[in-house]
Amino acid sequence: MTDNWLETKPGAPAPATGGAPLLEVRDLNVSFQLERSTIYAVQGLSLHVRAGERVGVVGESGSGKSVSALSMVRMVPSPGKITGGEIFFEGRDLLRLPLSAMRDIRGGQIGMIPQNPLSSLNPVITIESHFREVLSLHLGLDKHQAGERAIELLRSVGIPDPRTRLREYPHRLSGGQRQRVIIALAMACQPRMLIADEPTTALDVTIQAQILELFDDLVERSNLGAILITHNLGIVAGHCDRVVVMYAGRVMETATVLDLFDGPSHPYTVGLLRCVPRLTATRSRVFETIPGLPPQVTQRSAGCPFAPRCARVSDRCRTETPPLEEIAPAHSVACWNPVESVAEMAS
Amino acid sequence: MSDVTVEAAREQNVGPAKAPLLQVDGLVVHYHIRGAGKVFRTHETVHAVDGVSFSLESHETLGLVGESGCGKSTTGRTALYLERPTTGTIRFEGQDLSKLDHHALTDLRRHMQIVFQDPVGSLNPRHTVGQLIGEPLGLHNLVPRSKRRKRVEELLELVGLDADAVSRFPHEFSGGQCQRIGIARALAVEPSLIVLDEPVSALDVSVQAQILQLLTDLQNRLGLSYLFIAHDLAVVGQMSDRVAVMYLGKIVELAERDSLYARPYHPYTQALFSAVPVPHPRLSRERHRAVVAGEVPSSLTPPPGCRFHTRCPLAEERCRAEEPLLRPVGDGHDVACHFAEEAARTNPFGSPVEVEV
Repeated sequence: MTDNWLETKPGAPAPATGGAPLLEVRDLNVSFQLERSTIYAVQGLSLHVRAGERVGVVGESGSGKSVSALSMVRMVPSPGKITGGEIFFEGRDLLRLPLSAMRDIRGGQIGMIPQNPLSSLNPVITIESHFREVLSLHLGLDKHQAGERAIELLRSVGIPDPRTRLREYPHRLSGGQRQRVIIALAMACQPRMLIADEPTTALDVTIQAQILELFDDLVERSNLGAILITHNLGIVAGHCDRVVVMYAGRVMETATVLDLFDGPSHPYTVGLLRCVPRLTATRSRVFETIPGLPPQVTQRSAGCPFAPRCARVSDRCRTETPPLEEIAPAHSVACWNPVESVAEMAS
Repeated sequence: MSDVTVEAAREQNVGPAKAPLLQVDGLVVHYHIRGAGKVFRTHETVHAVDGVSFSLESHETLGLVGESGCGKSTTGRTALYLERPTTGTIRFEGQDLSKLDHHALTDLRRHMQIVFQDPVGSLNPRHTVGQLIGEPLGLHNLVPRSKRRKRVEELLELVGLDADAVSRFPHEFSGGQCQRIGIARALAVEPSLIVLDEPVSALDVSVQAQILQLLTDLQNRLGLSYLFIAHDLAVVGQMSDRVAVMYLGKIVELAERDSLYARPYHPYTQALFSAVPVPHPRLSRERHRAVVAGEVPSSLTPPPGCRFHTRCPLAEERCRAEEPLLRPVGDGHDVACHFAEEAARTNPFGSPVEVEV
């Protein structure tokens, strides 16, 4: 029904063909209108995700990575508004869908894994009720069917004794188990796409490893397209195929994981990679830092947002915003003075 | 920065006795809580810390690393007697803290301070930075009121903030800057020991490095000793001279930093290393690693024997029955594992350490 509405809609792009991205975001802008100022949280974000591909979005706090994730399913909290851009999912522009169709997609074809496993489950209803709600809304399953399907789902995410767990309330589960339940809920309607917003930030490192292993496994098993929002470059290195580096609401650099780590081109990426504390065999007493603080994105200033902290800054950086330009196949960077080789940056 | 600070710091560190700055012996911290009984009240005990011993020399950094609930923060707080231990002794410069009355303890606290994990939450939002940093100076009667502002400005400069911060409030600062204020507050009384409880885990990586650099510089300039508590092995590894790994209220391995990172003996230490996501795609794809199964058992009912046996691939009958004690196993490692030598040889969780490429 809703699909018919879509196909007759003028201006809708041709349906996705083979090899076309599952999700494509073009020039997305999100801003928050406050009383005295406007926060430009996302400015001109473009990215795409193919089936079976894990795209990492990295950035520090305030870089706009979480807002980007939320806007992809049109869940930007008030007073945030998507002020421009297009988001195509399987060929349909999500920003032009009526809300009812959008609701079918959220939790249906696109599963969300939020950051905080403690507060993402309703504390006063059982695990089973969570599943029943999703499964009856999207798939129209009855109580019994939903229960059976929930047991299957819990088993598939590695929860022992799922039948007992279903009758329990969220507080009875550990953080890791709660995150598994949330993943099972996201997977409940066999989505085509998963968006995970810092899925392991609240978890311990050994549990984090387990959850990420599960994430990889699900993506592969169901050939999902996945977006993994994280601040941790280690997670990107191990669990993503391509990366988008964000800073102050803008994409600074995007590349395959290998290209980004082997040949980072944006000075911010280079700096970020250097800052990450590493497990080295001998103690390093040198701390690489990026001087200064991340900017407030309350004004849309001309020039590169990283310019005030950048070692390679030139006059042009302060007056003209660099566009995202391809410097190698599948490797784009928004910088007037990109780093040619990492050795050059060290000097 | 003022010369007074340097002199004071030196004086404190040239103690008469050669006792370690901080000596913790058999520390046990149990919390008694009401259990889950529906009709009759039951009592349960949280075994937060269960027999922890270590010492800290002056000018040294000891890292305490472990996952949530392992007792590392409780150990840090109890080391300063912010909490009373259930049993066990804590000696600071040879003095048994349990023998001190309230006043003596307050006086001694001048020499031992703490920096908390939540940089913003640990500062009173209604106080100005000047009040926050000046408060310990007043409490310990160190600087006359007339000179206090000048001293606060010196401290701000020491931690890399502008002097005009004095009259501003915490909300005007970023997380990293608030942590600098927290550090200045701890430094105000010229301590010789600072417990750093996850001082950078709430911060972004680029800011993290700035704070770690600051802490290292301060240590070199003022001759401080740090008890550095964190869950991040990479951060602990950058800061510590020696590292103690904790699991469920016990130290499972304690060794020199380089030796521990090159060759961990305890299977849990190995598991912890292998779980760290390495920021290097080729390495993280190539390195053989096994993810440790299961979760940390409840500290209400810690498993008998070795507390890690429920998740350990090497566990045998003996591990379930007999608790392994911390023992020297060579390379300067103290390890609480019956099969430490075998574990070091086989490393069931894969190679831990990043090779610089």
